[in-house]
Amino acid sequence: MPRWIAVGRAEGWDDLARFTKEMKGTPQWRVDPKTTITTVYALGDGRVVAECHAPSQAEFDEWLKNKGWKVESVTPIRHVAKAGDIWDVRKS
Amino acid sequence: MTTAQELREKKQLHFDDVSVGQQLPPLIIGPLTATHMFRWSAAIENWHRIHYDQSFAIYHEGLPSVLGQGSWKQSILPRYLKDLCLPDGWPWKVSFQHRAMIVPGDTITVWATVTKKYEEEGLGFVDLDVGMRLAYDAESCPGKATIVLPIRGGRAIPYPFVPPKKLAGN
Repeated sequence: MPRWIAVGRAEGWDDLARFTKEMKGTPQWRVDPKTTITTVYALGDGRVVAECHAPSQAEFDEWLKNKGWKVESVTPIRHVAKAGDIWDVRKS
Repeated sequence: MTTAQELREKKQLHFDDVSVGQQLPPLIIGPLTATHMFRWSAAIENWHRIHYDQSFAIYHEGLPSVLGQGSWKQSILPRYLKDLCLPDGWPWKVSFQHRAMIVPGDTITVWATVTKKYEEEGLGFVDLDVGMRLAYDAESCPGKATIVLPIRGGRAIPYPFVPPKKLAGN
C-alpha cells in the first residue's frame, strides 16, 4: 500500500490536549477501512508531520484538509527504519 | 465490563421476559489496547506478529495497527450469551462472521436482538441476531444465536443441556 509523509502546520496542535483530541480516537487515525494515519509528530518549531498509508494520495489529502492543515509538502515514502527494523514499504 | 460479583447476583432472565424485536442488555468492552491483544496472544500461544508487532503489522502487512484476534472475538460472543443466560439458562449455539478488524482504541458493543421465541419440550428457545459493533458503527461479527431460557413455573433446563430431538439436527 502506498505511503506518504506530509509536513505542514496545524493551528493548536502544539498543545497536547488539542493534539490528543485530534488524534486519540480510532476514527481520527483510522480514516476508513484502507486509510490509516500511522504516525503524527508535533515538532518543536510548530510544524507537524503525518505519515499515512492509503489506496491513493487523495484519501490523505482529504484527511489533511478536514483537519485544517496548511500543507507544505506531501511526499511518497520508499523505505523505513523503525528502531532497527527495515521495511521496504512499497511492497506492503 | 460485567464484574464477577454482578454475575453472582444476576437475576434470571426468563423466557416470559423477552419478546421479538427486544434488544437484550449489551456488553461494552474497551477501549482495547495493544496490551489486551498481546495478552490474548500469549494466553493462547498465537504468535502471528500482526497481533503484537505494530511495525510488522503496519509496514509489512499494510494493516492499520496490531489486530484483535478472531479467537478473542470467538471467546467474547459465547461469554456474552452465557452471561445473558446465567444462572439457569443455556447458551445453546452461536455462529457469526469475522468482518471489520478490531484495533487498539476500539470500544466494542456486544449486542443481541430477539428474532424468534418458541417452546419445545417445556423449554424456552430464543433466537437472536448478535454482533460486535465498533464505536463508529462498523459491525465486526454479525451472526445468529439460540439461547434457552427457563419458563416461569416450567421445568429446569437440564445440565448438561441436551437439545430436544425435534431441534437436535438444526
